Amino acid sequence: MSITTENNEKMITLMSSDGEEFVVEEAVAAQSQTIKHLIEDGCSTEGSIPLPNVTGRVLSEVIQYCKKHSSSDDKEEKELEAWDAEFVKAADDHVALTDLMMAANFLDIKGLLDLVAQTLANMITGKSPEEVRRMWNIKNDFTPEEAEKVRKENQWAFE
Amino acid sequence: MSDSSRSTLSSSSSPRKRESEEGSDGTASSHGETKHNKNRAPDNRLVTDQATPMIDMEQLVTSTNMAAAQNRSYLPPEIVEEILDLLPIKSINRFRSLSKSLCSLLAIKYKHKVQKLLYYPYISEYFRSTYGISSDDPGLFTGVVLSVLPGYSGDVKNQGYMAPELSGPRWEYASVGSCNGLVCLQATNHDCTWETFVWNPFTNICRKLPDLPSSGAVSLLIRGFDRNLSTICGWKYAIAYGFGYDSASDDYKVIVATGPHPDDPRRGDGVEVEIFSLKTGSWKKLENPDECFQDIEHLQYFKSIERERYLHERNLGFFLNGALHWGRAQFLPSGEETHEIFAFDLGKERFYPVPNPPKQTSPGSGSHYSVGVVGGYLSCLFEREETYTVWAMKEYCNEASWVPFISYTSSSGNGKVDGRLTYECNFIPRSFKDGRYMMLHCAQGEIHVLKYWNDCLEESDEAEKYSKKIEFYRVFGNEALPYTETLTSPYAS
Repeated sequence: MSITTENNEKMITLMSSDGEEFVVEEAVAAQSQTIKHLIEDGCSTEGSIPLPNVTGRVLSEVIQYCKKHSSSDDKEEKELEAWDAEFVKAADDHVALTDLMMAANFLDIKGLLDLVAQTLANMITGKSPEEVRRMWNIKNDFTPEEAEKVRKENQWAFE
Repeated sequence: MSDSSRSTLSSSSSPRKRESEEGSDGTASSHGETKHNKNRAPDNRLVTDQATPMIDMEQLVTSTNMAAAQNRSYLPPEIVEEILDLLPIKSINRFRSLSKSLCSLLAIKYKHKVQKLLYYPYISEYFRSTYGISSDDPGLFTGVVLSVLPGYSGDVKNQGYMAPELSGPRWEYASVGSCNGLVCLQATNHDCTWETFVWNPFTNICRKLPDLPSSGAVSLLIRGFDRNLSTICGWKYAIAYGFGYDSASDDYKVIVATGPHPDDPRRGDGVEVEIFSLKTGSWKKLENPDECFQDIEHLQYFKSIERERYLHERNLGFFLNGALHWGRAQFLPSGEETHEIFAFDLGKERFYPVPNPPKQTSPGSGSHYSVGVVGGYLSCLFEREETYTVWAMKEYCNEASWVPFISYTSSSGNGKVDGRLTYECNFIPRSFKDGRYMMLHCAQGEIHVLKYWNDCLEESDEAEKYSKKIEFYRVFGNEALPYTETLTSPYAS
């Protein structure tokens, strides 16, 4: 549904997977390409836009990011960078960051995706493949022979 | 339901979260419950009629739940790959062993990713004596330096890495070719021994090739400038060489064709063609090489290639369409000049002629002609009185399809751009998406990269025949080779 505020900003309602609703300015929500397309297709006129794989907790963080980035056109780039750094720092662990990454990917918000991806990349740089597998529940489907072959090919990367 | 989930969330999540909800309270929650219930499917999973791009919802929801049940996070391989992409090269390779799907995703991803420039300072005796550069400076001959074009804003991941095979002081490095992320280099050592390498600068895996059988005790040296060495340098007599890929056998090959050798009594007056295959790991000599020419005239022409020219100028072959290509100019007694191109099919292992570029009018003495690959087309560069024109053959082996598309004068760049055409560079600098590049090796040992706008080759409108604009960049080093970042192994699998 569309609600218009006093400032004549068009508002839209987003609903998380756990049923939480968020009313945000259209300009803020439209930073998500996915939502932007849904609005363009007229999907927001009949009530809220359901986002079935983003929880309320994650969605609120995403909205926080979008708000900051939609209102910061004339702000110093440095300030925004510092804000971004604080933002990912607050997310704290890889589980929270992974949730954000999934949401940013589903909602197609490039800036957020890049930011979180870089943070996660920094996080795993020094880790072993086994540690990374545990982090993201990646199944090691190599046979011992195959594993040895891949390892041999990339011997230098393990040294 | 909505209210209860709210209260649970507010007690468990970070304080930050609350701030983001300003404005949503009150208006939203009253509608929340009804909408929420409406959208519940019988299986208690949220559904939506809207198309949801990019992600298979069902799979995702299931996977997420599964991961949640195990108290771990879950990321689909495509997203893990996005993250891995940001890592230094060493880490990317370490994580190839994460899982099969990631291993193959990474292999595809780096098949045609970014092209970079490999450049290495090359100072020959000639340059040393001409420009007074000290030959005692070991720094000039140590290792290979990697760089990217000016304007490219990505990370230079390779900097600082060097395959152990390639490190150590060398007399010089010379390019044999670059193809699908593999580069073929020749290193000449101070004791005049030579080594040939196939190297993937991205994975930093390097393979030393066995010596060329026919060279015997002679050394391989590309430049003819080094007079002291000329008698011992086998490849000085190479009339054509190069490095390329044969898709039929999925194999990479190094080709060396040599002509009669005035100082080598072992040699007859025939052409010898030697081919190294990465798959077999050995050199083989073509039986009856003369027969791999389509006609006798072609063979004669091949044999008469002027060997005294330093090899890089004419004898380095350029890879396109499964074949290596060489150009040759012939000055006729009448004052006319002919320009020819011949090619070697790496699959059939035969030479064949390619339609000549159009005849150039008003020949000037000492005019320049070189062949290369620009914009994916077989191209040649002509010079007439300091004006350079680049032609492209828009349809392979169709003589009528030659078109000129770049024109400049030797003073167009910063410094004299009187270079011969060498490699095309398909860099994708983030800020210059619309540009294409070609590289020129100039007479003073400088390298210039010419940037052009490629719509001139794609539009048929005659008015757009030439690139609207060109720019020049000066690149460090005397010798450079572009390569693509791939995971192709120099040890063919």
